[in-house]
Amino acid sequence: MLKFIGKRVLMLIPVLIGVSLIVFTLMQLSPGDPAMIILGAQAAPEDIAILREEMGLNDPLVVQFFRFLLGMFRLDFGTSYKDGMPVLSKLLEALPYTAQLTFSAVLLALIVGIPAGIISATKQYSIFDRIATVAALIGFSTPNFWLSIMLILVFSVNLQWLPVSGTGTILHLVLPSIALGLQSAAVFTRMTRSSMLEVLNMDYIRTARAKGLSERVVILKHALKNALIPVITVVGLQIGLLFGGAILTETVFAWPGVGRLMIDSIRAKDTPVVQGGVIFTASIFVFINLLVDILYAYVDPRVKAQYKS
Amino acid sequence: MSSQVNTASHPKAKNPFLEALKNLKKNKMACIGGIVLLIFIFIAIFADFIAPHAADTQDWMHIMEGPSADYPLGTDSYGRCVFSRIVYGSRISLLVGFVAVAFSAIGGGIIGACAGYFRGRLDNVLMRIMDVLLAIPSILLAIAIVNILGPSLMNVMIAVGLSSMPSFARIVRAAVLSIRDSEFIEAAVAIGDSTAAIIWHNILPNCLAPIIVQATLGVASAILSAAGLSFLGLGLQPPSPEWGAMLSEGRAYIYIAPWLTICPGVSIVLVVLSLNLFGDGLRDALDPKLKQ
Repeated sequence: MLKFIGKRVLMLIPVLIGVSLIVFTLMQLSPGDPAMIILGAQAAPEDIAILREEMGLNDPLVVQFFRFLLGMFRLDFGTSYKDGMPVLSKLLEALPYTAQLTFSAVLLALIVGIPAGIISATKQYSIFDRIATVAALIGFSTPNFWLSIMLILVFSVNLQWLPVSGTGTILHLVLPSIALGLQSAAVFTRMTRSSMLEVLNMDYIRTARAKGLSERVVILKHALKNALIPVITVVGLQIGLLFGGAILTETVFAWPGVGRLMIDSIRAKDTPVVQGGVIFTASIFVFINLLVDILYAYVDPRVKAQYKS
Repeated sequence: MSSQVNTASHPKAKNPFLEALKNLKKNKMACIGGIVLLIFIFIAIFADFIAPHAADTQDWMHIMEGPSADYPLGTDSYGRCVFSRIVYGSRISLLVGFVAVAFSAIGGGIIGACAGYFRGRLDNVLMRIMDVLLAIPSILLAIAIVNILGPSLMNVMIAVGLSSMPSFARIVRAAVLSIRDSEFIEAAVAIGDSTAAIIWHNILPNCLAPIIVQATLGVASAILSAAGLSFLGLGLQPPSPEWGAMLSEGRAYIYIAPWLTICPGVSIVLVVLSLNLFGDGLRDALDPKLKQ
């Protein structure tokens, strides 16, 4: 098991270096001179030239990239062009908000999606199954930024039950979590349903039923355990995706998370924050995937067996 | 899609695509999805005849009015006909969806086919690059690319296409790997066919099923991404009747004119839903193994 974990952790390093290279290249290609952005358009050309030299912008790109990479390994993403604050502290300030939003969205999606998937599978082709299947597809097809606006329209504008935007109380978290979590709930429902159906057709389930076990025990104790294995992967994937996908929801609800920080920084051409933000998000994404893989090996002995030799 | 016809005329075995079509016809949900999709394609093509007004005609006597006989879905803050704008907007959304997917299917297809066919070091290098791209959430990647290229229709298509390329590459690679060692490939090599010919004539037609399914579902997510980009103000800019841009404009008037946000949103959901329904049905029809 340790060998497996070690191998997977080592594999992260080239991926993260690759991500940095791509992000660095993308930012080099984006328009605008950083020195000009900091000093403003009216700055004297001499001042801009001096600042460019100070910032090392005249060095060869390879040198700049390695400096950037080295900084990254020391968790130094540079400072914001806008207010001179370290990028990392800006990101860490925003992180709890995105984490709150992502986890409550995933939790909500799990609470709705997994039971719906189980009932759908055990009562295949029933009315519940049909409604759940269609609802899941609609949920899957609804853009979360539009859903956000509709939720605001119904619950904040018309019913006035919940706040329109901002943070502060648990009530502020309700609408953004629903908006962000609906698509995942749809994915979980579909995944649980199909995985459950597959397991229910297996011989050991027939045996369990033949033994005279109650349907409840067969489904919740025997079938569910195996059916949830592929769902774990999807849950991990969704957590990672929501971290990125929260950008739109955060924008609509004025939620001060990583996504909104990045959008604001893109608009302000604050390159270091954008750079740091993308790498930060991608790191979280690959890290969660790593955790999922490890968890997967833990719950599915077949995966572990591959690494035993 | 022209190779689809090639396969269809292949004398070998039963015609798989006719067979799939028969399966597809039995799937009610997929048929509904297909019909709604066709209606939207029809609307997009004949927008000039369907829309009662031009997309940018402003009527200052009727600003932010609710639905009426003249304006079936009401008017926006410039007195423009919301219905007409949605009709014209269907052109943009479908165009972005199909072109972006064509772009990523071709790019990802070539990468995946090469990786799967040649295997070894090339496979390793190409797939690690794809892994890296997959590690960056696609909306972020698209935002970064649009940020460089600037907001325009073409650039949105490139950004969305590029960001969905890795998933295509993976699917094509897996499909190629699964048939690469078949005897008929060995035979083609023995006859002395060129590698390009083998990939084009023997391998790709046999990988079409997963590619078509992924493409259909890909158009759905491409439309969502493009609308998201425009909503953030990074895609098509406001005067254009792009649905995401319309949503973003209408948001300011949510208290007094909710139809400005409801209508474009419903259009997005309908198109994406129809594509997903059709794509799901297509997958079941093309690959009976997956059917539950």
